[in-house]
Amino acid sequence: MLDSVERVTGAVDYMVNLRLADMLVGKIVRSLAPHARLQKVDPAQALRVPGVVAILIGADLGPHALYGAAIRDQGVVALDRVRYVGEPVAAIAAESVEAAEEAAMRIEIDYDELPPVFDAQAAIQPGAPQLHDGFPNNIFKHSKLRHGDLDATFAEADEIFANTFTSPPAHQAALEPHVCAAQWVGDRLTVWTGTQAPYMVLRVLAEIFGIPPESIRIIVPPLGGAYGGKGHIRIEPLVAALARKTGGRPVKFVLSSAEEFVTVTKHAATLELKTGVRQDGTFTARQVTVYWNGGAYADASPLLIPQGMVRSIGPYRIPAVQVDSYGIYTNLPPAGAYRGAMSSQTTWAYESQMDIIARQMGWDPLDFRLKNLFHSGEHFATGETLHDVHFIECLAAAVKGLGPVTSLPPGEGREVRVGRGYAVMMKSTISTSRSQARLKLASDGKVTLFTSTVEMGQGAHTALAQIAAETLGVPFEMVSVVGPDTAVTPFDSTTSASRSTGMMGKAVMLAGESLIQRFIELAVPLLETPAENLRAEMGHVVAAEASISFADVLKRSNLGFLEENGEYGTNLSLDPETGQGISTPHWHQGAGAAEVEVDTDTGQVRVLRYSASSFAGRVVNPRLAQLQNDGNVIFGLGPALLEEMVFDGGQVINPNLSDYAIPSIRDIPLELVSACIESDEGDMHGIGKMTLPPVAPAIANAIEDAVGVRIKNLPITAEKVLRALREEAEK
Amino acid sequence: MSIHFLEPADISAATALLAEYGDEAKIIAGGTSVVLMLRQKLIAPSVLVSLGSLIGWDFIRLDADGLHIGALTRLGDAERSPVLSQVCPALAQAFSLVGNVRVRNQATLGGNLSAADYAADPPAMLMALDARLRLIGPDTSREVPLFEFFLGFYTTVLEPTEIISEIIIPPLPESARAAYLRYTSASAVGRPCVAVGAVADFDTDGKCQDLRIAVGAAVETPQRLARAEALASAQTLSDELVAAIAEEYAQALDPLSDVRGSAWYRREMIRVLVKRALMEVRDRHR
Amino acid sequence: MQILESFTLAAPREKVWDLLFDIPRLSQCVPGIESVEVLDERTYRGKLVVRVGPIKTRFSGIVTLTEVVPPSRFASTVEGDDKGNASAVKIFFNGTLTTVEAGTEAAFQVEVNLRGRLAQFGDPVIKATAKKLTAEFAKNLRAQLEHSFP
Repeated sequence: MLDSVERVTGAVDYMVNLRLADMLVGKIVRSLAPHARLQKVDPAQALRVPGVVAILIGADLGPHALYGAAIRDQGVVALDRVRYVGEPVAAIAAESVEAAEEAAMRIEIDYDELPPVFDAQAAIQPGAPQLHDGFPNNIFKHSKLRHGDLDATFAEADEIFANTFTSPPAHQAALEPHVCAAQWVGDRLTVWTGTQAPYMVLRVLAEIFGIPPESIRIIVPPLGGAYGGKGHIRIEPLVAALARKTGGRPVKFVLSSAEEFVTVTKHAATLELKTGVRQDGTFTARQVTVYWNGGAYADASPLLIPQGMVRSIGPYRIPAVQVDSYGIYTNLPPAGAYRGAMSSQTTWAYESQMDIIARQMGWDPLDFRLKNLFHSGEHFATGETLHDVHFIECLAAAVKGLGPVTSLPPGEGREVRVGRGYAVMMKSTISTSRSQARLKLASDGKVTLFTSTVEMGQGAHTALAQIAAETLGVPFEMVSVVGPDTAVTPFDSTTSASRSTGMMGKAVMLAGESLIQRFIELAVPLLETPAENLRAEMGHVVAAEASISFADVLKRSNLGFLEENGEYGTNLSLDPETGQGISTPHWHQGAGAAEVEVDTDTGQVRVLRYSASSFAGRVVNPRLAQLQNDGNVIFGLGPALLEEMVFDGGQVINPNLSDYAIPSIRDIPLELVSACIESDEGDMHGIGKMTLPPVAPAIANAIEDAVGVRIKNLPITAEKVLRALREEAEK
Repeated sequence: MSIHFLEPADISAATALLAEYGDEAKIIAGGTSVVLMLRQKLIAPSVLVSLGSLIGWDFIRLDADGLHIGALTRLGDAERSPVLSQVCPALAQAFSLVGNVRVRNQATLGGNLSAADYAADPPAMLMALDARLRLIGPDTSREVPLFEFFLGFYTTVLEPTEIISEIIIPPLPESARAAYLRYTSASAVGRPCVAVGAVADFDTDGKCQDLRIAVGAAVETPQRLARAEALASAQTLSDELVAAIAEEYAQALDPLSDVRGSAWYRREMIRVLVKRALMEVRDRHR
Repeated sequence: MQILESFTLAAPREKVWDLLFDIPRLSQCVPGIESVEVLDERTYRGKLVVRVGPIKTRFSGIVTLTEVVPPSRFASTVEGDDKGNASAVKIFFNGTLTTVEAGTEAAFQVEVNLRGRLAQFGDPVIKATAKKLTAEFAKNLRAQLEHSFP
């Protein structure tokens, strides 16, 4: 990895280290009511506190102060209403943390409380409190897919299975919190922020402040993890709006752990799956209804829910499919992107149901899957033809990696049972996005890659540097990466959706190829050979009898450096009424096989071994790919077994990493292996999080194999398993 | 508002400062509990009385009247103490499970006990060992048995001017065995859902004498059940007796409900853990 | 979170009711009360200090009587905040007085919504604190009743 030494020695310059001249400390004052009209927000007393420089409240903002990644429903700070406990009501800039906190205590806020609603299915009932004007039943998004004749095909089924699965609100829990600083110089705004999407932040800020995009600069230092939580506009508008009142002084916000939990969350979801099967083991129809709890503001949900719609069906041959995916407002903190957006919840549902069906019908869960998994060339429920799909290979690799069963079936009276379970997942990447890269080669031979892809510990910069090095034929050590800094690095849609190695990687390759073309052209007079007889190899322009290094080409041409851009994008779409069309440039495919041990006295589940596999097209950096896959599995243990945000009356009661448990080093399975399957066509398209969604259902399936109980609500806690065992015993 | 950080050189200076500043002062030893509360703004003392300069209060020694552990002994040092691993490895194990290695390098035993966090490890084991605490005030010095020390959540019998100086554990006979078991319902390194400390002495016929079992983390304060312990008196610890004792604890205690488990679940886990702890003292050596 | 508490007082229901609505005497019984101000016949403003171990909370709030059915039932809403702890509390309080052999059984059904920093304390601590306060409240009521009722 490019900066591995810095990472281990703590020398990476994360944003929390940012120090600017005359910098002020920022603090957010947050709503204590889940739903209320703001009768009064009076900062007068707070402004008197020595050291306080500026306070921002809703009354300071104009009508453009509503923004959002898709629906503009969120105030920069709350304008006249608060809709969740923790919503920013005021922002303070002060000389010190103490002054900011003293001021926070003195802001007078009067809430006129309104009835709240926290459950998504309750929020859409008639009579439920309405959170936003214009959305009478609190539904802000309805994505639809209609493929085939659902009723007719259900009628053909020999058995119909209807099951409901749930996934709770959870958190991305990156090690580094949200950090953001902003400074105005005249009408020019600079924002330093830990974001995955600098150009998206730039666009939204330009809209909010009504200034041209060219007058905004977004600088992104390396992130200490993000997992989707930093994938869309977050606190940047608040910080920039406050910075406008400080007379040009920069103000920096570092959110606390408790604040993280009310800034963005992972969607809670209820998923209803109705599936028809025939006695011969094939599917007839599937109807999916998903209720996504979007929280108080739409945030990125309107962009994520259509993706979730496509990801909620599963990698199986099903003639008729209907999906209704609803985004619903409730008085909880806003939900946003999470690692593998929406696919964790959806894979949980369809892969759990696979085993429910198999066991009921007396089929082997593996055979049932193998019989129905897609092959390349077949059509998906969107109508698109699937190319380059290797689901069967993925599943086979995961199963193989698990090896032979470690323990014999238990005898009478043993406290512990062992079982195995499998899961396969199918995920789209985003359909419309664009990446630009700029490559520069200087006369000392050094290469600089300018990219707005964000390094957040996933090794993106390393992979891109490798692609640049390979394309140009120069040693990896000669490549350095700059960015993101929108003043300097060109456009990229976002570092998310597992798209960067694929999309930005291609842009880098194209930039490299353009650069090579120019070197060849420059070398023509130097080598006295026409361009068609020249080629590039190992950083040299090569003729039949002679060659010149790129650096020498520059020196002999009296040039300091050469730069070229490359761009790659996709623009695909689905029909809004039927969901038919092309949903993704390629499919992300992953599988998992889990072997678990269940303690029948306590209900505790331990994952003994886990084998993951993913299809990556062409792997750029095998070591990083393996780490990414392994990391996904470890990360996935959290939502499967541990993670749940617990609310009481809209207040999070476990907003800390002691009461909100995330996987520790001791929770990692004794054996964890992962495989990366490559294809001969060799198109690279990134690893992202393919091995993450199968974790939870593979574990649930393994538990059913071990002790015969089925858990349909995440997380799979020991208590849930014990209760299920007791209920089973009573039958 | 800044905090005065005072570093008295000895215990009487420390208690005198506590008397002088009253409500405005807070003791800080290893700081693992106090700094968290300060950061979360749950407390706002204007004076911190640090015990960091006190010398001679971090010891572990075996006397005729028992094991003495100085209150300022770091949990990490206690965990690794050769004396402790000789006398009672189960107690060393209880210390070794607190938090993580970084916490144990700082946290002191006195601090751990005075914080009275219900989800802690040492109290249950110490209670099963019949530990006593010496509390020192400006003009006072008293001994309090551990089973009288905890009053409720985060509350102990410590007067505002008192400091724990040492923990005393009565001698264990050669034939005694001890076990410490903790159960975490979520992450393996999480706070315990149930903690059980068990100590039992066995005579030459294998009959149990003086069984002591303390349950912690599942209840407001760690507890023992004398009538359940008495069931084992002069008996062989058969599987039936073990189950009966475990059942007594499960029925009699009033478990709490939190993110690590509901009261129902904790009741079930008390039964399981007490049973497992009894089987451990029965079947394995100390 | 829901809390249910009850206790019995050796006094007739009317006497208990009178005491509960005699604000000066009642406020002496509420543990930790620092001040009470009558705003009108249904509304009071007060300050209450509650200690949990080393943590001190100070709530300023308004009590509004929403239902008064002498001598058996009353309901009130309490809205308070503790600025120092960036917290607020909203309580729905339902009290009933029933005549029993030993005197009067006072039963309280309380719904507590704690918001802000203090909410991390968790159910067990908040419930145990409520229990402790109720026990002390009952003790103080008994003392007041013994003084007033020969």
